[in-house]
Amino acid sequence: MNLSEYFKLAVDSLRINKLRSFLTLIGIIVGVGSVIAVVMIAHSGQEGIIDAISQDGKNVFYIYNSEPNGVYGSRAALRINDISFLKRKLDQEVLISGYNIGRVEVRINKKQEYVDVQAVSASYKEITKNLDLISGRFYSESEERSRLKVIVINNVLADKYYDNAKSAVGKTIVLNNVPFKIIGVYKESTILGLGGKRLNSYLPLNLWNRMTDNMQEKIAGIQVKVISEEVNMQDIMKQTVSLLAEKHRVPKEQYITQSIEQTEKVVNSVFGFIKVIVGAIAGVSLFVGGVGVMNIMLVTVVERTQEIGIRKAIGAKPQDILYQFIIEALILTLFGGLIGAVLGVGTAYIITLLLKWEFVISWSIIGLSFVITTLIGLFFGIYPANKAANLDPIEALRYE
Amino acid sequence: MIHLEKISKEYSDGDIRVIALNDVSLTIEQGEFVAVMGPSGSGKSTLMNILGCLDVPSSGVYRLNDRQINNLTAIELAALRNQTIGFIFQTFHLLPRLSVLKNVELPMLYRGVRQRERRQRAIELLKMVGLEERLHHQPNQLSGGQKQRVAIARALANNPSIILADEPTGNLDTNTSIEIMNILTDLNKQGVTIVLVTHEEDIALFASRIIRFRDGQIVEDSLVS
Repeated sequence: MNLSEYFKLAVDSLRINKLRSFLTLIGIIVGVGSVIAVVMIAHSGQEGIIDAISQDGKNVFYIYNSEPNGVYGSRAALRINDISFLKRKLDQEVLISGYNIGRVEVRINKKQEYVDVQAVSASYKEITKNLDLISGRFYSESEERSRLKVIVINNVLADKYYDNAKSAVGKTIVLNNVPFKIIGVYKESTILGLGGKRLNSYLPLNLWNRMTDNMQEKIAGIQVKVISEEVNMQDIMKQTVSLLAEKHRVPKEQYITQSIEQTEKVVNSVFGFIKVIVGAIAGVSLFVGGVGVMNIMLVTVVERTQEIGIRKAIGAKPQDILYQFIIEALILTLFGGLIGAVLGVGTAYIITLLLKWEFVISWSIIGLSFVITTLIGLFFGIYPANKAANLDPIEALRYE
Repeated sequence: MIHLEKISKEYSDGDIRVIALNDVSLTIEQGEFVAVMGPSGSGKSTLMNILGCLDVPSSGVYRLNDRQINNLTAIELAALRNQTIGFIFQTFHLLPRLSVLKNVELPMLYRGVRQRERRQRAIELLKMVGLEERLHHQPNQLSGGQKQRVAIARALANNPSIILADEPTGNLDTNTSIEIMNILTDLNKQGVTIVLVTHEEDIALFASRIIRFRDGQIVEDSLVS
């Protein structure tokens, strides 16, 4: 007998007990479906976050103070002149921007609003890939040097008060009673569809420092982009910290560097953990489904004792019976796995759609689910099948 | 072709030891039509099980077509049941949810015959027993006599040299019994060896030789004139 004959035999038997076969399938469907859905949703979230944070590129890192108001006080604080210092001293050619973050009162159309400010150097637009200018331009280094009162606002602010991005460019906006010229509009970025609703803007860093009476020209952090792609980021991050520690005469621990790679690692390990834990919980339902299959197969063997006896009497070999029942179990689990996979992928798709995440299909988890369901079919099918194959034909024939 | 030499079969039923067959020696030649008779518990069913390779004797030698059966494996016994022996049972033992056609195909399926050939042969056999109109019926849609005719077709599927019929008319009325016995008689005329277990004297008279059992032993072995 060849495989397709065993397959037909098994399908015939399963068809006879349609309702029961279907109920048995539910366990496997729920198991496979939940494993696939959970892992794919987590996977989509992970990809989304990695995407959002990787926009700066692998050769970008940040430096900031570990304790801005610690024992070394303002001596350790990063200052605007650290930017030119690092640019001079670092072994590699780099682009550097400092940044401060703040909030400013704005008067538009006689209404009062608060707008977030990211004060950055003009080189910022070369460093980040995160800046999506939809109209106008970013400020230049000469504009920054001459402290021209220019501002780049986000699309939220532009849409709210200037109809659209295009008409906002060239208009004047009043910050703390000082008129600024809007020279560009950018699109606010989102992570996993979250955010992107705040009024936000970019201002030249040294202009901002003057506006906030920041006489010591302290900055919250520095962003560095190494021009060369083939460079050991760890080395250059270490050098940066050493240089700063030496200049400020404070221990190196006062400065923290953070690269995209480090953040990615953290995100990956967090999501890896989530996937394993939740996947394992969902896996339990798959195991329960497998036990359900075994239970039904055992009942089936008892119920069909006489059938097995008849088959043996007319010449079925023990392995003919064995294969018939194993293949029945396999069909149950694989068919359940198939439906479960479709439902799982569908569920993941709908949920990511509702969350406005980008849907990422994970073939590896689908493949893995099929391997696992096959193993479950074999594992939970062999015992009942073996029981059937070894029935004594005379006893089996007599069974009523 | 069937040669039994000092065959005994013992069971232990709990603490009690039952001797179902006691030192039975018997030879059945090719083409014979033998009726085995005896009261219940006389050992005739055990004899049928051993002849049909469903069971092995506790002692003695069983030769079937010059092949010693005692130490064959489960797979070899299955092959003998499949190709050398055809069974007919009192309660028909058709598979309830398979069509008549599929029931008849089953022994060929286990022999590895291809689907087309299988189907052709099954239709041929069902024509022979007069059921060509019922190919796609399920067994529960058939009368007792029709079921037994399906069983006969199934028994013949792999061209066996022996038919073992265990009370084949036990569940049938007189007219139907005679129909079935006529089919068996025709088969015997075509050269098939038939061993028939029955407790009805008039059914036994269809055979050419009657062997009577009592307490696990042969008490009479006579030819029908």
